[in-house]
Formats: sequence, structure tokens, C-alpha cells
Amino acid sequence: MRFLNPSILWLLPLGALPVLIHFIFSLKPARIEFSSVFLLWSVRRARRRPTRLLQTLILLLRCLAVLALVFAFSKPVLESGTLSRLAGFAAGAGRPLSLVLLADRSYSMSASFGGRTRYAFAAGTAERILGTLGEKDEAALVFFDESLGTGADWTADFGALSKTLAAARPGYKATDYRKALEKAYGLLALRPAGRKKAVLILSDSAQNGFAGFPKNISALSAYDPQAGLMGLSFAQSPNSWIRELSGRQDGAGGFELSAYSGSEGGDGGGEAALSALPSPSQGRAEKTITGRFRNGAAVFDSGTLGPDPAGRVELAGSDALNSDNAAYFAFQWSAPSEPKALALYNGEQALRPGGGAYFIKKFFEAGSGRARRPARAEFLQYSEERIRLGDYGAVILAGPPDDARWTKAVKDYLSAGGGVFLIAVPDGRESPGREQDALCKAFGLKCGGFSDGKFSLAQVRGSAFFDGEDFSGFDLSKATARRILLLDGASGFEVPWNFKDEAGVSYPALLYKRQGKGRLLVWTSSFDLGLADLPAKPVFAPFMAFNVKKLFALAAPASRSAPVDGLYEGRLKSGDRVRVAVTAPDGAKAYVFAEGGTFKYGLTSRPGLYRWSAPPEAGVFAVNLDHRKGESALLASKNPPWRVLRPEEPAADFKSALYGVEISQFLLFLALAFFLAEFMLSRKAL
Amino acid sequence: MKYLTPAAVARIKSLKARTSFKIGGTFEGRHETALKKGSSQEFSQYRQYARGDETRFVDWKVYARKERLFIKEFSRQSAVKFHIILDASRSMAFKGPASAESKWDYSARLALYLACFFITGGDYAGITAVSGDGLARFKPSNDLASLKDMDAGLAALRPSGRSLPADKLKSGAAAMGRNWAAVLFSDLLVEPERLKYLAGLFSSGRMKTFVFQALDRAELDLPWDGCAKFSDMETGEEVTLAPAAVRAAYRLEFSGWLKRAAGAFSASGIKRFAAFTDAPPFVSLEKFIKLF
Repeated sequence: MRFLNPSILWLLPLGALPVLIHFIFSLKPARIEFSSVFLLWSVRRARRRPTRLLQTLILLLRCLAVLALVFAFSKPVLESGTLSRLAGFAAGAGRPLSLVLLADRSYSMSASFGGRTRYAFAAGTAERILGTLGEKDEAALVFFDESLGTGADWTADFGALSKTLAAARPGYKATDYRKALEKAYGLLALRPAGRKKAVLILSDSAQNGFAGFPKNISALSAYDPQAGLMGLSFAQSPNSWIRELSGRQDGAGGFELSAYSGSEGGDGGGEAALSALPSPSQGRAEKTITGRFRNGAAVFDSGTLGPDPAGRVELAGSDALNSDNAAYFAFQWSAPSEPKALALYNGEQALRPGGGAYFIKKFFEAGSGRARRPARAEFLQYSEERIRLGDYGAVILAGPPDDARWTKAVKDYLSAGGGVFLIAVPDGRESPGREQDALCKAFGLKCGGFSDGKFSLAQVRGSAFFDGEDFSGFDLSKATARRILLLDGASGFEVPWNFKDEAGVSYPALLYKRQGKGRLLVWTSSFDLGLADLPAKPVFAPFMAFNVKKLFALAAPASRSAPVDGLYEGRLKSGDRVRVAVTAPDGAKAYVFAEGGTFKYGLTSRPGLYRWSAPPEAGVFAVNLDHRKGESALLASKNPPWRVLRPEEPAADFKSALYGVEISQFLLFLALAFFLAEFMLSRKAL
Repeated sequence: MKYLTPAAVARIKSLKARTSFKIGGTFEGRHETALKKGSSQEFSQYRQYARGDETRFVDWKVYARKERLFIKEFSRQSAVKFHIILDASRSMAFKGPASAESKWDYSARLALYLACFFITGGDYAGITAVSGDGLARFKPSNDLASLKDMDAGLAALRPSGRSLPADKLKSGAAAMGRNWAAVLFSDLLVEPERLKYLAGLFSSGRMKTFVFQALDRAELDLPWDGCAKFSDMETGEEVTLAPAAVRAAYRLEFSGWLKRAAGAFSASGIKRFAAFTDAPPFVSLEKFIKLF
């Protein structure tokens, strides 16, 4: 049962009023002098019980009469299949109906249900319901997802309306019920008075559609409590989807694509395939790489994709909703032209196991642990002749040079744009030499001598040096050094790591700064195991990977993408006003103009790879579903604000919900009957 | 006079009444006595001889003819002493909302009418009013002039006390002789057990007893609305009820009680007449005197 005027129910306590009046305002009987009361006593004794019963009945009738009146004014509507068939008694029977159909075209409506999509089922349901309407009834259609679309104006041609519904397809956007319902109520508010009104929501009651929905539906603009509100709901279906793609460069300069999956009742992704677009101009063929999701993440060995990789990652297999099984990527990225490093060391002992250059060599031979293809590194002694630093992308000084000539060479190399990694504490030296002093001076540092002791590593909080990596899987305090170089003048440096001695005093461990066009890293201890045990720790490999990245100034891949229905901003090298042709995934072509090297494209209604061309430039960008809204979870709201029609009998439920019997008149008659009965019995009792 | 107006007296004198009242006694009066043969006798009838009858009244001529013994009976006119007992209890003061006079006034009026009737017929009539204050006696007289005192006395009397006190009635009944007749005017609103006792009391005496039961219509109809607290005029007992709710049942109870009262007196050989105070007094009188 529901009430059209529920606020009246607050008056229900008035039902107790007759009882209060009975006890508080009992009538004082008139006193009559009578000849003899013995016969009256006799009669009274015989009638005591019936009189009490009669008085109780009278009181009850009074209470019931008041309650019936209150209920009558609250306008209860009894929803009963039997009663609704009695059209003559139906509430609002005879009044023509104005029905607004809200058709949900969000992408969750593409989920399968009973062999067809939810949308197809909803359209079929609407057709059945429209078939029950009469010639004086009318209906209007509004398509919606996150925004409102055009549907159909008020019409009595329900066949055409059904066709319009059936011909539409779900899109790629999420759900917003607030906008849809406010539109529906706005349409109904303009209909003539005297018509019965209803809204039928052809949707899956998606939980995410209620973000921003008011707590009380009456807060919706133009809300009409008299209008019936009905909708559908679907059983939960398991679903997995590609939630996000991210690209990054590994420490060796390669490109790494990671995919993250989402799942609601699904298997979390399982197998996935990465398909990279071919690039004839770059001599790149289409490539497929497989991966497997573990704990919602899959990493693809995509280092060989080449510059500006673009493609698609798709889940293997199908589930309830397939439109979210694929995600697209397009990155702007170039592999470093020469991923070759030079490691300089003093003496053969440095390359022996445990030596200062030994672990560096091992790193380059084995890789960073993340990259499948390690960067190349050449290991040469300082004493070698004809070493041209400019031939290398990065130079690692495994210990400071003994030779003074290296100071200027390294300084020039640095200024020209090279990357230098200085391992500051040499093997076998008890104090910094003059050459080291000169080198430090060239870097803007002042050597303060070695300090021996027990030093442990500590990460400086807030440092972005490691791109957000906090090495939380490693216990840095277990990485120790016995000798460090004390430095002055480190104020211009970024210090991502510190040493702490046993007293807790901090000393810089790793320093970084840009010098000229180059990049300088300084490690204030050694990689010789006799002086520091960091190279033997598991953290060494990722530590070196980040350092190498910094040395090579490898830029992070930039994603060229936009969400569905979002605005893509593309960049051109040319700053002229040029026409850019954009081809959508379905082959549709559109043109926009680029100015100042930028163009904007907004026709991103479907996910996929969009190609743009503004000769001689061309490119690709990706458009993906926006999973932040939660549409892929296919979670239905447990308590939608509308009456859910049974999927097996939607038309009957519709009629029952709409034409439930309003029993206020019956209750008025009942109240009158109670009052009459009370009156008659009161007279008898009195 | 309050009750016995000259017009009423004239009307009473015109009443013709003839009773078959068989009593003993030697007073002059209209009443005939079925007496055995004696002075100033008129043959009344034959009856068959029963053992113990005096043989001097045997009609030998009839025996010679029929060879069966018959006794001659003779009637003799003799005066009767009518003792009118008026119930002057508090309940007799009851007057219903629609009634013209109380039961006491009605009974007093009828008692005087009856007394007048008896006296004009040559009998003696006396009135005793029994109230809570005691007895108010008016000696039996066959003089119409005595009615004036009786009228004044009854008009001044205020009903009080309980109904029909047994001790007073007992002593009164015992004092009456064979040629006495008692006429009781009362509402008889006492419990049935007490009613039986009274009936037995009067029937045990040597006199003939007649009862006039005066009732008010309101005592039957309970003509009040709403809720009422009824207070007994004699005992002060109170009972609260809604007259409309109990009216039907009460009428049944009242009717039943009237029947029981009638039955109690009838079983004791006492003739009883009941009338409501809304009945015209002369109508009641004529009906009542038919009992005599």
C-alpha cells in the first residue's frame, strides 16, 4: 500500500482522542429520586456485562471512525492485481495517461541478459507496456546516459515510438538518473491537468547512476508525488574490464606498458592480448603481445614497440559486458637514440667481485630487473686513451679519477648535456686526492674528507627523484656504509637519500642536480663491498635503474588520449593554421583546424583509436571509456526510488502500480458507517 | 376539602354497587349476609345437609318429598366496618414527570372516595395512614361528616418512612373482627418475599382484605434520557444507569414483579387491583368496587 498524502498520517494519534474524552470528560448523570430501586438493581445486575460490552464497542467505533477518517485523507492506494482488473474501481480509471519513457543508453545497458542486451530487453518491455495504452493516452521518449539525448515528443503513435526505441543502441557513457528524472517531471508538469501521469525508467537501476541524486526524491525539480514511477532492474552479472593503461620507461630506456583490470564477480581479467598498431612509416609491423593479469595488473613486454606506440589491450574471452573488455593506448615516446653508457674505473681490481665497478657491470649485464633489454654499457679504465665522452649517453665514474685531465672533460661533457654518475669514495684510498677535490669543485662541491663509521641509509620523504617509488619493499636501514665522503655546498642539489650514523646525524648519500644541459648524480660512498654493502642488497637494482633513467634524461611517455565524449587536444609541430582530418574508429571523418600548433577534437563518442592527419604530420590518439564512474561494475541499486516491475509480467505490474485502487472513498464510507453505528449504539446505551 | 369535593360526593352517591360479600356481624348496612335462619331473615337458598349443621334449619317438607336432607339458608342485611389502610411511606410521594399527582395524593383521594362510598351505603369506614412518623388513625364512622376530618388529616400528612412496616400492620390486622374488611392502599414496592409475608399476614386475619395497588406510569416506563443516578426515596440507595438501555428489560422485570405480586395475594385469597395514577380516579374506583 502507498499513500498519496502521507503527511496526513501524522494525525493518526487522534484515534486515541475518543478514549481520552471518554475518561476525562465523562458525563455526570442526573440524579432522580425514585420510589424504589430494587427492580432497577435487578435489571442492572443482569445487564452489567452487556452494558460494558456495549460501551467498549461504542468507544472502539469512535476510535475506528477517527482512524478511518485520517486514513481516508491520506489517500491510500491499494495495489492489487485483482483490484486493478476491476477497472471501474481503479484509482484514476477513466483519466487518460501521460507516460514518459526514459530510455537508458549508458554502456552498462549493453550487458547481456537472457540472450539479448539489457537495452533490447528494456525496449521490448516498453513495447509491451505501450501496447496496453489506450487511444487517449500519450507517451514521450527521452534517451539518457550522463546527459540527455533527443527522443520523441508526446505522441499516441505507440508503434512508432516502439520502433524508435528498438532502433537505438546503448552508447559508451555512464548514467545520471537525476537529469533524466528531472527532465521527465518537467515534461509531465506541462501536461494538462486531469491526466494521469507516470514515468517508466527503462534502465538497469545502475548504482553509479545515483551519484549526485538527492537523498529525498522530492528534492528533484518539478517532482510530482502523484506521478507513478516505475522501472526495471536486472540481476547482477559478473564482469571484468580493462580499467587503465599506463606506459612508463624502464631503467634501461625501454617502454613498458601496464594494464590494470577491474572486476565485479569476474575472474579479474585472466589472459589479455596487446595489439600494437603497425607503423609503415616507421617500419613497424602490427604486433601482438600476450600478458596475464595477476592481482589485477598485467605488464606487457612492449619495449620493442618503438616510438609513439599505439594499440589496444583486450581481455581474452567474453563476459556480461564486452564493450569494456578493450582499452586503447597511444603514447608519445621516443627511445633514447643511444642508450649506451660508459663506466670508468681505476684498476682491474675494481672489476673483480666486490670491487667498486663490479656490481655496476653486473647491473648492465643482467638488466634492472624490470626491463627485458638492458642498456649497453662499456667499461673502460680511466687510463685508456681516446675515450670520447660524447659518444655515450651517460658516464658512470666508478670512483673518482686519478688523472686531472678528466675533471675538465667531465665538466664539459656535463655542460654539453651528458649524464654523470660519480661514485665518490674510491677503492683503496684513505683520503680524497687532489683530483677528487678538483672534480668536486667542478661540480660545485667541496670535499670535506672521508668519514668512517657505521652509516645506514634513509630515504628522504617527499622526494620525487624516484618518480614516487618509495622502495617500500626494501628495508633501506639494512643498507650500510663504512665510509662516506663528507661534502659541503650541497645546497643546489636534490638529496633523495641520506646516511645516518649511529648517533642519528644525517649526511647526504645520493645527490642530484642539473648542471648546464647535463645531469649529475653523486653517490657519497662506494660500491666496493669493503666500504658499503648497498650493491649486495636487492634494492640496488631498482636504485640503479632510476639513476640510469635520470642519467639518460629519459622522458616519461605522454599519453595521447581522451575519455569518451571528452575533448582531445592534439599538438602539431607546425604553428600554422592547418586543417586536420580526424578519422574515427568507425571510419567517419571530420575536420578541425589547428592553430598555434594545437587542435581540439570533440567527436569522441566511441572508444577506439582515432587517426589524425595534417600533412606532413600525422598521429593517433586513443579514446577510452571513463571507468571512474563505475559503470562497468554493473552494480544495481538495492533500493531504487521507483517501483521495480517484475521482468516476467511488466505490463501487469505496470497497470497494478499505476492503477492501484485508491481506497480513500471507501474509507470515508467506512468512517461514516462507524459514526452511524456509534450514534445508534450510543442512543441505545443512553 | 382537598380530595373529596362536593361534586365527587354527589357522583359517589349515584354509584350503585351490590356486593355478594359474605361476612358475619350485626351492623346495619347494605351488605347481605348469608346467615343461618334467624331474626329479620329472608330465605336465601337451600343447601345439602352436612354433618354438624343445626337440625332446626332442616326443611322437613323437602325431606318428605325427596327423602334427602336440605338446610335452609337465609340472608340478612348487616353493616360492615371497612378499615382503609393507607401506605404513607416515602415511596408513595413519588410523582413521575408526566403525572398530575403523586401516588399518595391519588391513593388518598381514592381512599376517601371509597370511604364515602361505604358510608353512603350504610357501612362504617375508617382510615389509618401508616408512615414513618407512626399511624394516623381516623376511627370508623358511618357519618359523612367524618370524611371532612379524614380529608383534612390526609391532606396534611407527608409520606415518610419505609413501606408497610410489618409490626404496625400485624397489630392492626389482629385487632380486626369478622365483620371487618381491610382495604389496603399501597404501591406494594417491596421485595417479593416481603410481599408474600404481607399477603400471609392479611389472610391470616379474620377480616376480608382487598388491595389497591397505586403505581405511577414513570415507574414502568422510565421516561428519562441520558445517564441517570436513581436514588431510592426510602433507603437512599443509588443506582446509575441509562434508562433507555434498560427500559425494555426493566419493563419485563416490572411486569414480572406485578404478576408475582398478584399471584402472592391471589394465593392468599386477597383480591388485588392495580391502577396507574394517570387513570381517572372514578374509573379506578368503579373497577375497584366491583371486587367487593
